[in-house]
Amino acid sequence: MVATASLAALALVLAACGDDGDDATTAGAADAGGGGDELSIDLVQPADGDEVGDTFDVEVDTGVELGEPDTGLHHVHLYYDGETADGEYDLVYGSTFTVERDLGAGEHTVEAVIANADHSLTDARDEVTVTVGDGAAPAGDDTDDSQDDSGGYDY
Amino acid sequence: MAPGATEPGATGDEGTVVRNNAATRWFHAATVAVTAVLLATGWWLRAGREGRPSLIARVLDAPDTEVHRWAGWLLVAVLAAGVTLGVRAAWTFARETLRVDRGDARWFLRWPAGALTGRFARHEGHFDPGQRLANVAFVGAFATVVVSGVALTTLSGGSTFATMVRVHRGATYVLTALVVGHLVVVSGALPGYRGVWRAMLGRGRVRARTARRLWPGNR
Repeated sequence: MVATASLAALALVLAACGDDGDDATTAGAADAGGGGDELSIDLVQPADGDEVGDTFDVEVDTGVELGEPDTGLHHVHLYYDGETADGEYDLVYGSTFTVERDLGAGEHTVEAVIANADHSLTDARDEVTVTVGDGAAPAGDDTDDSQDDSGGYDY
Repeated sequence: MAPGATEPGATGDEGTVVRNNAATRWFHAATVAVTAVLLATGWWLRAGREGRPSLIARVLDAPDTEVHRWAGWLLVAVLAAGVTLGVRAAWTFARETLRVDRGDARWFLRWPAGALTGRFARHEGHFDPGQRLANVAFVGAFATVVVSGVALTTLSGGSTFATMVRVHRGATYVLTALVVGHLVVVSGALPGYRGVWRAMLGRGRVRARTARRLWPGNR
């Protein structure tokens, strides 16, 4: 009886909310809920080839509003060194994020992928290669006037 | 069935009573195991630890979100099996949970003293009135987390997804509180409930005097 009442209440909630017409089904994850076909992402910072510090800022430019899963909006997963299957990633709910992972000194890839609210991944992704230095100033640090956001270092 | 134990509710030669049969105990064990994984991974994700695999995720070599999703489907399977393969037990559970008898209010009034001293007011039926309320709450919470969880697997985003996340979380908070309360009772921290854990663990036998103290009207 309780289960039936609960199911009925939730069915009503689903029906009421469904009127908004902006929900994405899993089957159409990449095609709905925010204009899947137009989804794109650009890793603005760091730029490909940048040298970064132990912690560094990431700036992404997406064509959609980002937010935490309970908003129903997309968010961004940051993967490092191509490891996309082991559950190790960072979550970006806005246009900027500070990476604090210990990647270790040397060259690393940073891949930004737009994820649906349910964490399923879309095809919108961008990747850069950065070099983590020892004690280097974070990319985009204003104290380093010789390096602008778009240029970085060419290797 | 072990020597000295008899049918559920009957007193055995060694002064014990089989409170729950093996099928019920297995169902309970499966539900506990799957729910533990769900609560652990769910709270891990709620704490903002997504992207940093929990111990369970590392052992299973899968992200916490995937572990949570598959454990959710496993819970659906366990509950579905419980109400289909164990339809008679499910019916008994529902009937005994929804019963109301004269004297139930008195049982509630005397519950605080009973929990501390073991001197509960008499009640009828398989469950005491407090268990009946807990059963209703557990069923409601499980139904809500399951339905909202299934809904979340059919959506990838949007306003209904956001609503379901909030419903799922709210029901999880309730379920967590119920589990904590359940654990406090079965742990024997309240003197009146000492020994009650044996009803669902091991061979499901409790001492006859424990059964008479807690479920005096159960026949």
